[in-house]
Amino acid sequence: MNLFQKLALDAGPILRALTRSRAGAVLIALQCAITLAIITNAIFIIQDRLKKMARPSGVDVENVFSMSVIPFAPNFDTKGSIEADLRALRALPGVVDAAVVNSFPLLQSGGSSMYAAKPGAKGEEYVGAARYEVDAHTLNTLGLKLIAGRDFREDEIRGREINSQYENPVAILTKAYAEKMFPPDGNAVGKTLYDGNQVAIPIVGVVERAQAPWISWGELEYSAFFSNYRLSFARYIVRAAPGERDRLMPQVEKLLSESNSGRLIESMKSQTDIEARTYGEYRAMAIILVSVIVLIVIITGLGIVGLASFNVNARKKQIGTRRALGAQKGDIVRYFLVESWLITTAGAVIGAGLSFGLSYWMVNTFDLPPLDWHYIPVGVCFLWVLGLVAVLVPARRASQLAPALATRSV
Amino acid sequence: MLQMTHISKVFRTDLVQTHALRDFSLNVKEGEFVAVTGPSGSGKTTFLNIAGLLETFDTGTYLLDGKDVSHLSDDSRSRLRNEKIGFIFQGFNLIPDLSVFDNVDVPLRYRGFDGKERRRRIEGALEQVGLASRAKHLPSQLSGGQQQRVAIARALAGTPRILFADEPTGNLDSLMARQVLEMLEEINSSGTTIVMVTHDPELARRAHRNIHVMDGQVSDFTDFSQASAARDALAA
Ligand SMILES: Nc1ncnc2c1ncn2[C@@H]1O[C@H](COP(=O)(O)OP(=O)(O)O)[C@@H](O)[C@H]1O
Ligand SMILES: [Mg+2]
Repeated sequence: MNLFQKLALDAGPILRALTRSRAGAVLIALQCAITLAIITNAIFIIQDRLKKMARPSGVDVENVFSMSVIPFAPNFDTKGSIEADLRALRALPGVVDAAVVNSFPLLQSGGSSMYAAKPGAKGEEYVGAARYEVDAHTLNTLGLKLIAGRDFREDEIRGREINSQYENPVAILTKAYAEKMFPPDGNAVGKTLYDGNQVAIPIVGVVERAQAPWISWGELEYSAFFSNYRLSFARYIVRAAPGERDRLMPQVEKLLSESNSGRLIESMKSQTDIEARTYGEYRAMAIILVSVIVLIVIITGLGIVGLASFNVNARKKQIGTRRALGAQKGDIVRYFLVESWLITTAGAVIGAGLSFGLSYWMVNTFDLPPLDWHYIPVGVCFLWVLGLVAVLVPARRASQLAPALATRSV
Repeated sequence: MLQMTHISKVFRTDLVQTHALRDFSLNVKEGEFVAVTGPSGSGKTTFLNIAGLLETFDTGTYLLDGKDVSHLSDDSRSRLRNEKIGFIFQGFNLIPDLSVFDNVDVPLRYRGFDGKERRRRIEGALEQVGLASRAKHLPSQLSGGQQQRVAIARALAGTPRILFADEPTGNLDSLMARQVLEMLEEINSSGTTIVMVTHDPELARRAHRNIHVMDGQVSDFTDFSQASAARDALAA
């Protein structure tokens, strides 16, 4: 007879005994049910967060840093200043490239617009994309990978005041957006994009990936780059050679502040820091949930230990009697293991329902994705292991009780 | 069946040493019905626990069914108790959350019998003690006498060679006590050796042999086998 058969053999009378004095067991089973519901959902959310944090933004995060440019002097020559700054930045040893942009992935601020693939399109034919207004160095500076067509040419680049129309713009789309606009294969190069004002924008290239600036945006991969950069609310981005970023950042700050006093350089940040800040909430959520899981597992484990210890004390005479009737120490341990297994299984059955209930509520309340059912069997297995491990010490103690307790009053 | 020579047992606590048994020697033959009497604290239960392999002893030798049991492992002692020994306790020691059927089943499961064999034995044993109709009852739904009969059925179901009873009638009124005793006599007459501790001289007299324990030692033997044979003859 193998161990599993032996366990199953014991289960019948243990279950019948359990159903007759069930108060403590019911409480622990409910605790197990709640534990299962919380840990499956918490782990699911953590996984979801980790998965989102692992999405590539398309940017060479390690080597890129950025800053805001704020002109304040009256009659400031913004365009001349931006061009001079970028020339100076690109000339710095250790700088791979520098560019001017309105926004970039992970920044959490930027703009989006609706575009259509043909002129005079109707409402539902427009699809939104993050709108990156950039220069001819942007792809290289961010480290984006061109997979079709070409990069912008210098002669296509215009500096544009914020409320003015685009001037002869051309566009580069992300692969995801190109596939959406020109299904099925996303052959966008040579085609034309139309904005809401019916401005025709020729598409010259496609990049593999560039996330929109907002990490919780539904269509995170839909982005488009346009060859008109902005004169106000501009940001400089700089790509350093590997290992040079931290040396370059203070140097760039110094260079720019000394070269021109008509504008401010602000919020100089590495892309690594921006990513950490942007995903900070996700990370904090994951840490809180891990703590909740650890705590609830400890509490439930202690509950199981407590119930088993109580039962060992309350059943001293019974355990002595079982020993007298021929139970070996292993049989006594097995009794408590099976009992705990039955309680956690009862909890698991209720908990499985509760898990989906909790998930349903969270889907509706917090707009989370629904729980993947695979988490339930994994959670149940964990609950079983928890139940068996937690009961081991009291079970061993029970098995050490003297058989003579059967005849001695306790 | 049971041969104890010069057995001693000392209980040590932080403060005191109690010589529960000293130089205790006793022979019980196969098929005998022996009653053990003696004042409270004289060592009767200690003797029974050692004889029934529930406790170990310090010095001396003990042969159970011809086998030296002093160096057996805990598991082997459990197996011997399960296969050869039946216990009846003063407090019945039924498991309160198990039905009569499941209570009788307890030692049979440890024995490893299959379901059919266990059912056959449980039904037979309950039949024998007249409680076949109560199989589904819980102990708390039975009288004391009935509970003790369930305990007897539990002890018998494994067909033990020897039955140890510690004050089996101690918690029963005299009518129920008589019923239980008659049942033990019946079991004994079918060949099972019985050693019964009692403080009731009335009951003790119905055994074949009476052993009086004083201060951890056998102080007196009384052999009733002649007397009971005479009584049986008279009754016939
Ligand atoms: N586990 C124990 N620890 C210490 N002393 C014990 C223990 N069990 C029994 N004794 C002592 O051993 C002596 C014999 O006890 P016992 O065999 O129970 O007597 P009886 O059954 O004749 O009343 C008593 O003095 C009792 O207090
Ligand atoms: Mg006693």
